[in-house]
Amino acid sequence: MSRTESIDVPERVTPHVTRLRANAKEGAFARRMAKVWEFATGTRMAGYVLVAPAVLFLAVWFVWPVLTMVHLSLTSRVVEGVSVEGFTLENYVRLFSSDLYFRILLRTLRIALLTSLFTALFAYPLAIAIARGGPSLARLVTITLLAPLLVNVVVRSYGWQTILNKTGALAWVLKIFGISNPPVLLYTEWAVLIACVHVYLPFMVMPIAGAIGRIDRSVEEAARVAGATRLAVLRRIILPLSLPGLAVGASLVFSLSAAAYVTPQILGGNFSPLLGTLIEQQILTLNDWPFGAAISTLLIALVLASNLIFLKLVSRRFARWTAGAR
Amino acid sequence: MATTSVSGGGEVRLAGICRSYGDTQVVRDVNLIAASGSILALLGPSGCGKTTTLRMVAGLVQPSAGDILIDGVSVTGQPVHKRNLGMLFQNYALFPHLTVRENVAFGLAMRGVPKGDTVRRAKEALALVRLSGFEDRMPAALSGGQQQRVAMARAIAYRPRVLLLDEPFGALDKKLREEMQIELRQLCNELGLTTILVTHDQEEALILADQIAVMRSGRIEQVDNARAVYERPISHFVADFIGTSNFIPASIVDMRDGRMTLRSTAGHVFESTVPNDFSIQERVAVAIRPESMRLTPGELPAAANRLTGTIVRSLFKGQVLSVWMKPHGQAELQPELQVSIPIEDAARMSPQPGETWSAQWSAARTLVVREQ
Repeated sequence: MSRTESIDVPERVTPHVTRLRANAKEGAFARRMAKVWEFATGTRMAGYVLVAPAVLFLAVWFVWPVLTMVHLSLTSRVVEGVSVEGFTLENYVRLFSSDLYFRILLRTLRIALLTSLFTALFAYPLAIAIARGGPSLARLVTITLLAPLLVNVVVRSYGWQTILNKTGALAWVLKIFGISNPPVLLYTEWAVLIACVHVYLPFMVMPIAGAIGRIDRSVEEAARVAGATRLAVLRRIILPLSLPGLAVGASLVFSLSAAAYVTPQILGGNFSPLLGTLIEQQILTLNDWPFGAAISTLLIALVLASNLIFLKLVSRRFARWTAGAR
Repeated sequence: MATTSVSGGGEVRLAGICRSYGDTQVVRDVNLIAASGSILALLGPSGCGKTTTLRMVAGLVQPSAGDILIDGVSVTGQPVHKRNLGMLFQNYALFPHLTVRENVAFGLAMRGVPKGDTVRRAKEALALVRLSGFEDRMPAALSGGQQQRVAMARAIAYRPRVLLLDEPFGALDKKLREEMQIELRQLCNELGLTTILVTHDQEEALILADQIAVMRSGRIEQVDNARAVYERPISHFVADFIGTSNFIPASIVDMRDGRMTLRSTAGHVFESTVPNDFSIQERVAVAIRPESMRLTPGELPAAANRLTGTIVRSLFKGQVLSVWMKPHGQAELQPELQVSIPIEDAARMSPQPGETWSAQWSAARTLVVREQ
């Protein structure tokens, strides 16, 4: 008892606890359940208990394989098709000493960055429509946005291929408008970028729409009454207050597009490979698992680092708004 | 006090404004004038259209019909940001990502005021609401009362023509609310700001407003100064909403020399010398405030403005003792009369349940109101 008295049980939990306590009179099982519930929600352990299943799952299916992969990249190398065991940095040296790999790395980062940028640009109008439009408009936009996710990524990529083809739909439309010699987009970075923006747009829109939805309407109205034009409200109120949503969206889109494999493979081909394509080549075609593992490690490190930097920047700003709130 | 902050308030005129959402008419033909420099309260129960009316003045809602004029110029078609108004919201609506100074300076920045002037005028506005030294705090680090003051400073910093208040004190506790109300009244008078206040709290309206417009189902029921609305309500609704009243349906049987005689269906006779516009034979109601009645023990001979009954219960309410009495032979009207006895008199007489007492009141305190 003394434990629960000394610790603040959140208000919304208290009724449950009270009810469970009342039920507890009826039997040992209920009493035990009430205790478990109290432990899980009313103590400082609550947070740990609630995230434990997810943490366990990630530890087994994500952290452990990644560690195995890093281990592999450091303890073996392939010399002329033969695997040589023992600690080595050879894989990484090879990765950084070749101009080819460096170019692919830069291209990957560039595509991930540009995808984030373009999705963010397209996302804001859509997010505002979802968060602030009428219910039917919001539903229409959401469905249109999410519908492509129902289509397999391979099918979708081939769809883009037929559009961006030299004799495809885009070229045909451009020809109607008098552009007889349209630029070839297929098998260039542009094709990959266009497809990535299309695929990952919902991952940007949804968090931003959520963040905008949480902005108190009267805050916008207060700005309007104080003399702000609609554009000024967007720039001075909606944009800064939706930054947390933008941070989540950008983090998702950057990570997903940096690690994209199917889309660049189908639309970029061998003319503009990305790190994902490179990894596939090393592992499946050249059978060089240690070098593939080294590239994968680099990819993970890069994505993790850029996410951390980005989130740090945003959270510092966010911390300022809530300074002193708790 | 900063003399530069004094601005002449604009006169706001609402000419027959209406607003409907689909088939529901929220505001119907509202005509009102808020004189320059005065405080007008829109008072009414929730859903009476008072907030919609205020939002139409602000430009946040477009009227379906009618015109809104500030200083004689129609602003109905003008976008919100061009109207030069200040507004206080129920939840303060401060910008959470800006400091107190940036919040207060927002309107100035939007008007392209140079940076140096902005800082100085924001400082002045904060001094007016007695919040100097809080410039660099974030809104989340302030108490409710302080946030209210920041919102006030933000609304007056750019010297708006009109100040609009939407239930501004709803979230504050009683003591702080009263303090802020008095401060606000002083500030508005000092700055000569025309102010329109929306509230459902009759006490707030009485404290703050020069003029009170009582609203009911989208219509203006009565517009008058605070005292007149309380002392001469024109309808059952107003008399009931502002203060407490006992109602007895009656018809007017005689009118002469400013004295009106009325008779209830049970045959009781009432006399009133309060001026009103009703004509003979009209069905109205007599309204008597609980504090207007005097109680005497036992039965008194029947006369005008006098009722005898049995005490039902009494309740101590701090400054007054409230007594409920069931009048004899009055089955058809409001079942119980409420009478307030000032607490200093309650020591001398304390009616006990079951006893027979008589209530009487003067013709000058007998209100005649329109039945709803």
